[in-house]
Amino acid sequence: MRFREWDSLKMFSKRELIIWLSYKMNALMWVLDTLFTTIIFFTLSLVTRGSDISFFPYGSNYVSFVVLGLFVHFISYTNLGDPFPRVSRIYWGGTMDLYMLSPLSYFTPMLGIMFRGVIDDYPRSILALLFGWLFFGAVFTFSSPFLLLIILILILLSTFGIGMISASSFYLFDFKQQVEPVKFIFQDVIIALTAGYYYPITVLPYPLQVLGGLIPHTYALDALRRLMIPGGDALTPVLPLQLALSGLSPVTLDILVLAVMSAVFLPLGWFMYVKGIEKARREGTLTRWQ
Amino acid sequence: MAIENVIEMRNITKRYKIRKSRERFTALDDVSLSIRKGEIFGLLGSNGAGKTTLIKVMSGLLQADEGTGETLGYDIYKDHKKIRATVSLVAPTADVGTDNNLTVRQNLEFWAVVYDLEREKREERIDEMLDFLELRQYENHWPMSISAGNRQKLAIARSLLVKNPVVFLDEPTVKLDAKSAAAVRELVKKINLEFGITVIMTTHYIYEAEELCERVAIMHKGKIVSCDTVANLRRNLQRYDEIVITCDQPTTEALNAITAIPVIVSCEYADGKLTVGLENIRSNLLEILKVLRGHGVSITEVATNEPTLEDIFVDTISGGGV
Amino acid sequence: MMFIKSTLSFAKLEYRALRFYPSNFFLSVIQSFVTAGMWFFVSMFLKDYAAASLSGYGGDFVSYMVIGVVFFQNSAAILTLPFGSINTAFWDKRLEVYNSSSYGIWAFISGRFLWTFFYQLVIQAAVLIVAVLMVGVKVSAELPVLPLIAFYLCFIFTCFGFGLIGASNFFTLEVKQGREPFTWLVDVLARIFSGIYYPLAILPIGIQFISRLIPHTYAMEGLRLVMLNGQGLENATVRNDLLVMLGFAVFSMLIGIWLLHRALQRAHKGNGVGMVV
Repeated sequence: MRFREWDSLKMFSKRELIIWLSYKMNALMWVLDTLFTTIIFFTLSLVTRGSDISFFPYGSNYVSFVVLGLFVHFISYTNLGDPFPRVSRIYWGGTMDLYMLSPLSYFTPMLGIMFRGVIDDYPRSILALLFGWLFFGAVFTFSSPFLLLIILILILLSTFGIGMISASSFYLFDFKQQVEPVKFIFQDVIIALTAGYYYPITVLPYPLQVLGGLIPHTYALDALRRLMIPGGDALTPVLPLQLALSGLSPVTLDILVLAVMSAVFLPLGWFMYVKGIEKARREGTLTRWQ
Repeated sequence: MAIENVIEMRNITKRYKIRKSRERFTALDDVSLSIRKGEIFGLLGSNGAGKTTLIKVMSGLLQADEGTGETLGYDIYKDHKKIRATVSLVAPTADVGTDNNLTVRQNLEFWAVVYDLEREKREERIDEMLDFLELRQYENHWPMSISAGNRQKLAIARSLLVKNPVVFLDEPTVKLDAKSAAAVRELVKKINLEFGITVIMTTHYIYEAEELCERVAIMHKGKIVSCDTVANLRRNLQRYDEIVITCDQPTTEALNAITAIPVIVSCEYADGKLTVGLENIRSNLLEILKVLRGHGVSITEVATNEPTLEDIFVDTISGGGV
Repeated sequence: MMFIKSTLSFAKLEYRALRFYPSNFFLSVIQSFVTAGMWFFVSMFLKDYAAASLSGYGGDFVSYMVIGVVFFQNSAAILTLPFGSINTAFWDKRLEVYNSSSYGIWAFISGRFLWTFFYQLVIQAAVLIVAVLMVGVKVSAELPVLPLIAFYLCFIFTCFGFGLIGASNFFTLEVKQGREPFTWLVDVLARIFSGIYYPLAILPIGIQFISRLIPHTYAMEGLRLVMLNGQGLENATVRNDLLVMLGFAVFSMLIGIWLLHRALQRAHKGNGVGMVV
C-alpha cells in the first residue's frame, strides 16, 4: 500500500478514535456491556451447578465455552457487519463524492471508517475473555499458540470478505433503504442460529447443522474450543463436514475450510465492491447529492 | 506542453434511470463546451437543467453515456481516477463532508491528509484558510454549533486546502449572508488570480455570475443554449442599451441630430421622457446629451437601462436567446 | 382531538414507510424469530439442568425461556423507541419542524409508539404461535386472557414511561449520540436480574433483592404464571404482581411525561430542539 494510503488510514483511525473518546459515557457503557453479557451467561451456567454436564468435545466449562463464542462474535460483528453500514454512512453523508475526489483508493475510506467498529469490538473480544477468566471461572489453555493465531487470522479474513460482499450490495444491487440481505442472512440468521456461540451446534436439528457448515464461525469456534478449553477433544469429529471427511483431523479440516473461505470470500468481496462503485459512477448514484 | 483548454467536452449525453421504471431521463443532451485555463466559468440554469450532472461528468464522478471529453488532458472515460485526484469540488450542501464530532480545525486536518496535502504545508494552509474565511474564531467549535453559513465556508476551506488546478463550486454562496457571500466571491477571484486556478461554478445568482464569470453557459433541459462572455450574450440578445432622459419636448432638429448618430437604434419622446435605444451607452451617452444641450433642451434627469444577465437568462430560457 | 389526529398521522407515516420497503417487515419478523430461536436452542441445551429450579413453572425451561424472550423483545423495542425517535428526528432536522406545531413532538412520539406497539404485537404473537404449534412450547390450555392483557399493557406502558425518561436525557444530559444511559441501565438490569433467561432462584441470594426493584421481574413472573400455569387473579402472586405493574406503569408514565416536558421546555429556553441553522 502506498504511503499516502497508510497516512490516510491513520488519519481516519485518529478521527474515529477522537469521536469514540468524545463519548466517554458510551465508552464506559461499552466496557460494562461486555461485562454484563458475560455475567448473563455466567449466571445461566449456574443452572448446571453440581451436575456432570459435558459439552463433548468442548470440555465441560460452560463459561469458557460461551466466552469463546463471545470472542468470535465480537470480532465477526465488526468484520462482517460493519462494511455495509459504513458504506451507507458515506453515501447518506454525501461524502463518497469527496472521497472519490482524492487520490485515495476505493477501499481506504471504508476501511478507515470501519476503525470505529474495530475500536468498539476487537477489544470487547479480549475483554470478554478477560472478564470470563478473571471473574467467572473461565479457564483456557494455550498449548497451540501458532494454530490459534492462524485460526484468528483466517476468521478475520473470511468474515471481512463476507462483509465486503455485503458492502458491495449497497451499490451493486441498490440496497439503500432496505435491510441488506447478505449481512442479514449471514449475521442475523445463519450465524445467530447456527454458529454455536452459546450452545454446541449438535443441539440443532441436522439441517441447521448443515446450514452452519456454510459459515466460517462454525469452524473457528470448533477449532478454538477444542484447542483452548481444558478437556477439549481434538480428534472426535462432530460437525457434518468433519463426519463426512473423517480421514482428516477435525482441527486440520477446520483450518482448511477457513483458509478456503478466506481465499474465496475476500477476493470476491473486493471484486464486487469495486464493481459496485463503478456501477454507481455510471448511474450517478455515488451519493445522494444530486 | 501547456494545456490551453483545461476542459473539453464534446457531444456529452447522460441519461438517468428512473426508479422502478424502464424509462430514462436525459440529464445532458449533446452538450459541448470548452473551458480555458485560468478562467472563471459559470453554469447558469434553473433546477434540473443539468448543471450538477455536467459538473460530475467533468470531474470524473459520473460516466457519460455518449460523447468524448478531457479534463486536464485526461480522458473522462479511461483516466477518470486521475481527473478526480486533480480537481476539487464544493457540494451545494454545507454539511457534506463535515464531521460534527470534530472541531472545525480537526475537520480541516482530516481532509488535508485525505487530499494528500504535503505534511509540512498542512498547518500553514489550514491557518491560511481559517483566516481568509474568517473562521479563526470558530476553530475549536463543533460544526453543529456554528451557523450554516459558516459551515459552508468550512466546506469551501476544505476544498481549497489543496491547490488543485480546477475547482468546481456548486452554488457556493447559497445560505451565506451578504458579507460572507461577498468574501467568498473575493476568495474565488483571489484563488483564480493568484494561483491561476480554473473555477467552474454553478449559481442561481445572476449578479454573481455577472460579477465573477468571464464566460457563462446557460443550460436548459440538459442542453447548453448559450455560451459566451456576458458582453457578447448581451449583444446577441438583440436588446439594446437604453437611455431615458427626462426633459422638455426636443425640437425636430434635435431628434434628427440624435437619430443621425450611427449607434442610435431608436429615438422616441413620450410622457415627458426621451427614450433612446443604442448599442453602447458608455461610449455615446455624452454625445447625446451634448446634442440635446446644443439644441436648448432642458434636461431634468438621465437614467440608463442595460440588459442584465437576468434578462438574457430569462429571454434565453423562454426561447428568445441565441 | 387534534392530538389524536396528529398521533394517527404519524403512525400512518410509519406504515407508509414500511409499505415502501415491505421487505423490512419480513426481515424484522425473521429477526424476531431468529432471536427467539437462538434462546430456544440455549434452553434446549440446558433444559435438563434447569428443571430443578423451575418447579414453580412446571419445570419446563424451554417454555419459560421462550416466553421471557418474546415479551422482553417486545418491551425492549418500546423502551428504546422514544429516545430513538427524537434522536433520528434531530439528526434528520425534522425535530424543530415537529416542534413548531401544538402537539408536535408528543404526537410524533405517540404515533411511533402506537405503530410500534401494534407492529411488535403482531410479530411477537406470530413468534409465540409458531413456538407453541411447531416446537413444543407449552402454554396453559386455560389461559386467562384478561390478566394476560393487563400484564402486557402494564408492562408496555412501564417501558414506554421509562423510554420517555430516557428521551428526556437527549436534552437534559445532551446525549445526542450513542446509547442513552437510563434505558441502557434498565435494559441491563432487566437482562440480569428479572429472570428473562434463567430462574431467579439461581441468582446468589445476596443480590436477589435487586430483582424486586425492577418491573420486568413482576411482568415476567406474572406473564409466566398466567401463560404456563393458567393462573388468574385468584392467585395472590398474580394479583400482587399485577398491582405492582400497575403502579410501575402509572408512575413511569407520569414521571416520563413530566421529565420530557421539562426537558423540552429547557431546550426551548436554551439552544432549541433543533440544530443551530
